[in-house]
Amino acid sequence: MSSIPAFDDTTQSVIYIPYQGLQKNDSDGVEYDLSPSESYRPFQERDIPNGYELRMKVYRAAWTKCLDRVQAIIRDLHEPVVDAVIRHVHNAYKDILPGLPYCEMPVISVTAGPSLLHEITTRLDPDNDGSEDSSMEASPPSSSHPDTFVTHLFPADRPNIMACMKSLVGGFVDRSPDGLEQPKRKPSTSLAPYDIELLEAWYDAVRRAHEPGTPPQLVVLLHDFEQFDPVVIQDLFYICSLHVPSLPLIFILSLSSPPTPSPSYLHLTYPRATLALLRVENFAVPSGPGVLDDILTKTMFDVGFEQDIVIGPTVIDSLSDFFTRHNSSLDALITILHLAHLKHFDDPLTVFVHDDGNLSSLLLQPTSFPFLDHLLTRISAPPASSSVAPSPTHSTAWLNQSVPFLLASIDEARTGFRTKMRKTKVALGLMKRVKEFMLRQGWRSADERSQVELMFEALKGRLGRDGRYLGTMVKKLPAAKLRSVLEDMHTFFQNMPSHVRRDEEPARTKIVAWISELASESESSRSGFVVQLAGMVGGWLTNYFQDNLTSLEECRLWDIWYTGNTPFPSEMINPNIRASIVSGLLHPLDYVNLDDVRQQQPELWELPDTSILFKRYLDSGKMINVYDWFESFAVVLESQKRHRKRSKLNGNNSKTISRKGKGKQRQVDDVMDEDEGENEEDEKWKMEVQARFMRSLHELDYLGFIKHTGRKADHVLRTVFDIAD
Amino acid sequence: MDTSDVEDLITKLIEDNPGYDNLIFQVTSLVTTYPPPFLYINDPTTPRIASSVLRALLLGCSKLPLSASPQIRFAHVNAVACFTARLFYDTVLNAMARWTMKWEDGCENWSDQGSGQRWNESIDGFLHGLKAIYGAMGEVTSQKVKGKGKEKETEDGNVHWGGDFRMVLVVEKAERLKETLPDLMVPLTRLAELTQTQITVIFISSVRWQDIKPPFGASPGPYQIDICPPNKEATLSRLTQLFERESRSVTDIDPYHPALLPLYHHFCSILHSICSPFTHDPYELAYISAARWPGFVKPILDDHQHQIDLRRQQPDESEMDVEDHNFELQLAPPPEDTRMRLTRFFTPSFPAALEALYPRLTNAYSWARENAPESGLLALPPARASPIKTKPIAGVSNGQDVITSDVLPQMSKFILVAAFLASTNPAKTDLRMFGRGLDERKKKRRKGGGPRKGSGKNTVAKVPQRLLGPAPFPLDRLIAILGVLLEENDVDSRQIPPQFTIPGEYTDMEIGRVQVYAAIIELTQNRLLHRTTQPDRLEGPPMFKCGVSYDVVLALARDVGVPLNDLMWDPA
Repeated sequence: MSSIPAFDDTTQSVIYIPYQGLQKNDSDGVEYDLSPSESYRPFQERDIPNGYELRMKVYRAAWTKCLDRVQAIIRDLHEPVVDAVIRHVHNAYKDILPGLPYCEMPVISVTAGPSLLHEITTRLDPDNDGSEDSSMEASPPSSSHPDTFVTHLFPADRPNIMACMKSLVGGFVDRSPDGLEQPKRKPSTSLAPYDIELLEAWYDAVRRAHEPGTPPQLVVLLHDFEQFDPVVIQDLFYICSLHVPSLPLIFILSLSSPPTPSPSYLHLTYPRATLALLRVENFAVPSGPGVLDDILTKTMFDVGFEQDIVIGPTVIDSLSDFFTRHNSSLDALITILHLAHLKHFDDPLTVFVHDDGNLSSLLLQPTSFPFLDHLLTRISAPPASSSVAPSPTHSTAWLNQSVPFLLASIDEARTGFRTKMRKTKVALGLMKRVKEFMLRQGWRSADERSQVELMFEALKGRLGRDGRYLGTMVKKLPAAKLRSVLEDMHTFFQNMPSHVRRDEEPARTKIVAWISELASESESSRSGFVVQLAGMVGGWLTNYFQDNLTSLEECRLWDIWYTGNTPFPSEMINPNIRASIVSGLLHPLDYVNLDDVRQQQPELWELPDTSILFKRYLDSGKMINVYDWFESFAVVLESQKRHRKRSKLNGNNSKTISRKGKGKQRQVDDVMDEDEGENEEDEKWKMEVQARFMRSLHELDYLGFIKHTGRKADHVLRTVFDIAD
Repeated sequence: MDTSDVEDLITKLIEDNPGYDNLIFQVTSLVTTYPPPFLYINDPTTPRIASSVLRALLLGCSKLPLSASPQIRFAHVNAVACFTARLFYDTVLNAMARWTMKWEDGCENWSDQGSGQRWNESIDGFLHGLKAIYGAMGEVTSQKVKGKGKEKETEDGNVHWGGDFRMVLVVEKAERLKETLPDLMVPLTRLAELTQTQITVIFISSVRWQDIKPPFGASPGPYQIDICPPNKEATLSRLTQLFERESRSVTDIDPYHPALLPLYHHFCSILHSICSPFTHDPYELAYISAARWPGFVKPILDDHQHQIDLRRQQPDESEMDVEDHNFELQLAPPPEDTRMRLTRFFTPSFPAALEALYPRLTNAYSWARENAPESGLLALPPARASPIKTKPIAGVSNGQDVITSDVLPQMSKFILVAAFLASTNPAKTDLRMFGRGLDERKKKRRKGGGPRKGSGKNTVAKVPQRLLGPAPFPLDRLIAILGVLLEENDVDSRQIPPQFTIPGEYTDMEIGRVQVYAAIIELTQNRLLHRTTQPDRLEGPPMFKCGVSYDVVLALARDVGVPLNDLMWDPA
């Protein structure tokens, strides 16, 4: 244990305890120190040696690519808001309504996550980029003259007005106003470090240093504004408002609540007297389902971006469900995408996601044979839904396949999958384009599916009907509209990146040809030729959609790049607390040994102490007599002791048994087989049973299963009933 | 600003600060003669203005020549800003000594002839500091007098130089002293006694002296001055002053052009008649006026600009004529009929401005921008010019509901609806309201909306909970009601895994999820729910209160398809 987390620190909302493995127990002789990568090895029977590490490397590359993309999209979304905030900061003391009775203090409330704040900070104060790190605030002074000075206040360490003012004033005056050496302040005879007059004096110096230019503005960023004590902030605002506008202070509040549920957090929390001092301006980043649409479309179905892993419809479904139902934050979205990526790399085959030339030597090792075997089976098996009959040599073809050949066919499958995915993207984009065009023409549609749902359908290969319908509609278009739809399609193809455009050459030439044919026709005519042409275009569109909007699972080895219909483990990010605890207590062994799936129920004595106690708890009535409970617990422990003794006499390895117990039990197991000193042993055993009982009882108590009434001696109340086993 | 006489000063101050004649007269007379050691000024409505009046007054007094009054030094401190004793001492001493802190000198406090002595350690040091300043003042004054060769002679450099110089210490928001610096209350009220100097302490507060007075008669009774709320004339002339202050810098065509002052008078009297039932504060009225006035005069200014443009475009006129016309085209007060039209057009927007600006739902700048009338208003026929803009008013109420439902996730909406029901329905009715299915409820629901009459005739009719405000409820109850709502309104939108066969079993899973608890905490942080128990209390379930209004909940309920009125015990 290198570092003990600060559990007593009440300002921390989350404490991370890194898994360091169990300590080696010498008396036991059992190696418990399993690193996570060793303890969790799915599909080990068909993995290559070191497969986990190799896959993790691939995973990291794939996920980084996806994450970068998502973050770039989010940055684009945030850009206008950041611009608006910056503009507002710069004009805060210029755009003042004339005739106001007193100067208001500009306050900007921003509803956004930390990434946006970070962006705002870097834009406002590029020299001093210590946005999240308060120790950086006292960083070396900037040589140039910045337009704004930024200081940060965090709620955790600002319990009172003195600390708050101290960090506000200190955040500014720690930076030298003119880039020169800071004058020394005597702590006793100078102004107190929390005195705003100090800031005034400092700002005077700043103003002189900036002459003849405009003096900078002072921006105060209040992070997690909801967490601040309103009483403190009330005073803070009041004190600062007394010094406006001689100190051009601007407050930026980072709120997590939306600004508009009437009335907003500020109005609910702060009295009118405080609000009257402020000029509040609200900014919010776009949120809600629209953002989800935007991000998913641009990561998944953008022809200009080629993701490594394609997320399957079930994941999209869970993602959109979680996003709309539970948590519409972007962090939740990223977490789910992350988890989907991570889970995908459980499969040993995913080591082939990227083209990696170093694998062939590894595959030749004898330990990789199960893996190769599996791979060979997958490659030689005919595609599941292919209508093409297997070639006559199929049954014997596997005989002359070598490792390089295998790798080459994987490469081929990869290219095939990528092309297929690209074609799907293009087809979906074209479909959207044509549909939008038709809607613009006043075409009524009962289709209210969102982008996300459309994606879902496209991945399932279920958009065939839509394609046919669109084709039929296009067939009925008159000449002028037909021309504009063709031109629309043409620009769509024209705007694609060049490598995609090359693939779509046939489609493009067709469209160009049709346009030129139409050019000779008059605008409004609906001659036979136009009808015929419209029929051709419509037919082509139908076929195009039909060919390209099919399920990705028709590709060879699709499951390397596509998560398909594998269910998303939503229980992992959003479990039911009570159900998880109860099932953990009822089936503890399922959680301990993941790979070792038992067929039959384990005996009661095999379970850990707390589980034994819990089983007995479920058997009892509304009130439990603690002594009876103890007695029944002792009986189980007695039988446990007997079984262990027997298994030991049978020469069984003690390791397998002691694995099931808890840490404390292990130490006593070794002592048990001593026969001498029967009485002393007995005494010791009784003590042990009692200790183990108390420990388990307290554990259940902590979990909230017991209520102490004090009305009846030796009795406790049950709190949980009706557990379906 | 320089006045040489106390009388002049008083006249000037009264002119500048209408409605404060009493305060100005009393305080100026006292300070320039023989003030009592402790004054208490109580202004329950506008302490901020009283404080600014006092500051101007003392500034004027301190600049009076020695022939008119003793030399006066004053410190004006704010009890909120001086939240520690040290801050208080520093601020007072530096102000008294007229000491300016220099950043280059490391922001040193004032010290007696640069001795570096420290005065801010304790009340004792503070008293000594005051004495030292008083002594220094005496020396300066005596030197000045000597230098000028006036007839008044001193025997030696005695510090006690009679009554010709005094110090005044003003404490604004004095009621806060009781919380922030309770130990300082008594010494401050006895400062003259403790320092043996001519010092007067003035407290300004919005509460009465009786309410903050230290116990056991520890402080001497103050000389009390009460300030009445400003009357209409005073308020209006204060508004006019603001107009004049703005129009001083105006050269171009501007809402604050001096020619528009008569119209502004008219505007202010309408504003006052509409807003005075709600607020007397001249600052609030000025705030609303600042937001409304630019829109009010915009049609006139537009018209004027239009006229000028027309003149400029006429080519046949000679240079002389153009000049002539420009001269003619001075901005003039609008004729009576225009004034009437403007008044009729804009009067309905005054209450709207009050509603939005008094609680600061928006700020004056954005309100003025959003509510500016479209150009060419005066050209429109009266019937077509709609007197009130419907858009901003709709934006206050309806628009926000829509946004709320857009921003919150589905589950949070359900939680808020459940919280509202838990807060308004009595707990004992839960079984009746939620314990049965949807169809039964419709049949057996209590007829009518009114409260059930008690058995006896003389029982007092119970006020419905909806009007009493939200009642606290335990977390378990919230979760249980949430379960019912989800089971009845949300089951269809979920895909239920096949292992859940018992009806309602999956809902039971849903309401216990981590994200539900997380959503409750988040809503509490956003003050849409209020937690009434301390977070660090472990025993007992946490209690909450609903923090959103009926209207918002109704919109949310409609959004998630919950028939809210059917589920309320006492429907609206």
